[in-house]
Amino acid sequence: MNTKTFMLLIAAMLPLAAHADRDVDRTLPSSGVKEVRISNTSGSVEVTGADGDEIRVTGRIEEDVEELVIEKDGTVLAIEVKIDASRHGRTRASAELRVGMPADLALTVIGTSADIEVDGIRGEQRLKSVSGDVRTEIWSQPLDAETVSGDLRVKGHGETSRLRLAAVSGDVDAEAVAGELEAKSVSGDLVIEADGLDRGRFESTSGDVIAEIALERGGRIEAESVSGDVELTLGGDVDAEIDVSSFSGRIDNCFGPKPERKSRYAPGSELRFTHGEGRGDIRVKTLSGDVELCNR
Amino acid sequence: MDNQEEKRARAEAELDRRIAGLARDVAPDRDLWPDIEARLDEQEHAAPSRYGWWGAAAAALAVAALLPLLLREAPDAVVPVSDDVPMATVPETTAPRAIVPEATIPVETSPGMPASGIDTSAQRLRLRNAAVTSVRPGPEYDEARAELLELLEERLEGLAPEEREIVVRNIEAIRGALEEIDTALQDNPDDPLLQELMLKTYQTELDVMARVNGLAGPARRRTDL
Repeated sequence: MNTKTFMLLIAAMLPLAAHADRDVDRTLPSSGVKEVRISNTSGSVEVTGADGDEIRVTGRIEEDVEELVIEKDGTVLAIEVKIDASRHGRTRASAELRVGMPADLALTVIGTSADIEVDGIRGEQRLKSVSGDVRTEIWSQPLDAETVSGDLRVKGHGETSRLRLAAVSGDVDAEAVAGELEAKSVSGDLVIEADGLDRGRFESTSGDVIAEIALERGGRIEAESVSGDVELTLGGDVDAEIDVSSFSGRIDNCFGPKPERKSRYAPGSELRFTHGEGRGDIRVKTLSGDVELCNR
Repeated sequence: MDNQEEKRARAEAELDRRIAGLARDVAPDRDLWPDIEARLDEQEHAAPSRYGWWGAAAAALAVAALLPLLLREAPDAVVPVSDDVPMATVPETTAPRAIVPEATIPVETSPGMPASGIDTSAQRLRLRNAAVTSVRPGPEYDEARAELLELLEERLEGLAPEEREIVVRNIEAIRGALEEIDTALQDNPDDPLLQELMLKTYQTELDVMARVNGLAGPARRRTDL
């Protein structure tokens, strides 16, 4: 290889070198920050709550990522993985980010195919991804989490909170949560384990709803599905009016009363009874999904 | 809140209002069974047709003879759903109606839809839309849905093919559910459970389209949340 050829080769490789994979490690003070917003198209975002007053961003970004922008705007610190528009659709445009931040700050994470994993954040959380999985834990602050095909997994610590969990084909799995919970999916299953629920609303189109719940006094649960089954296991002292209707699904009840046909001329059946003093309210409705109601 | 969000919120509020207004039970005006029994008896005792099975056999032969002709004239391309597709109707009743009966529904065909039979996501959504049901919850819902659908078609273009397929399949599943409920409503038009499930499934469709539109929106808007 002569010198001229060698120089041409080096020149040709320069643009690649400019966009090679690179490591990220930046630390910023968290003073004045109330919320951290992270946006990453693909790859992963891991956020960990920690003591201290710093926000540290580490990880690795691939060559087609244009830049990692970290900007403070008022009380919001935005961390955004920017992809050069001309490089959209290329395969090397993902970023694996790890963010350590004070545990009590609010957090918003938006990803397209990025998986989102959050540990130890006690502030309000909004987590959204199209196809990435979302996993988090919560205490008393609200959580709003959405995916299309990714799964949603939430671990609570028994503290009263307000949760809104929505998927399309992904499964939704919430354990040890309390307070108010709205969970919905079209074809994904909803698996809920809640102790001390004030309000619960579970909706699916074809996915199953499997819920193990202790209802607070005067609490209310509504579960609806078109063709998915609904399996409701009630814990604690059940004190509620219970109303279950299905157009063509089977209703099984461990509490005693048997479902009745709604009409001689239609397949539907319903089950209505009061357990305890009837202070709470439990309603289940399906078109063709079966319903099973039991106590722990 | 932008204009589209406002429209969706209004449509959902309208659906909520109708759901809240649904009767808990609807008692039949009268027991229909004696009439049905009487008619069944009439049919059992009715005189056999003067054509009998000979007539049926002749009709079958005529159809068999015409079949090649019918098949030859069928177009090769996928035929877009047209206005003359028979649509079922829900009969009027005296009970408070949550769902507005419609004789026909507007068919949402795209002028640019090629007749090549290429099954794009947008085409599938539009074709499925036309076949959903003969009952509608009202003009606000139609308007909100049409706008969400238009945006959804744009958003789908920006998603990976497998992701697009998942979204389309799930919206089709919702529409399948609407059809399933609609079929049950044809025979039980006053059933409050069916009416409620129908309205809520309409809400689910709006909700899913809005959520996908939001999640799959342009990256520059994601930090504006």
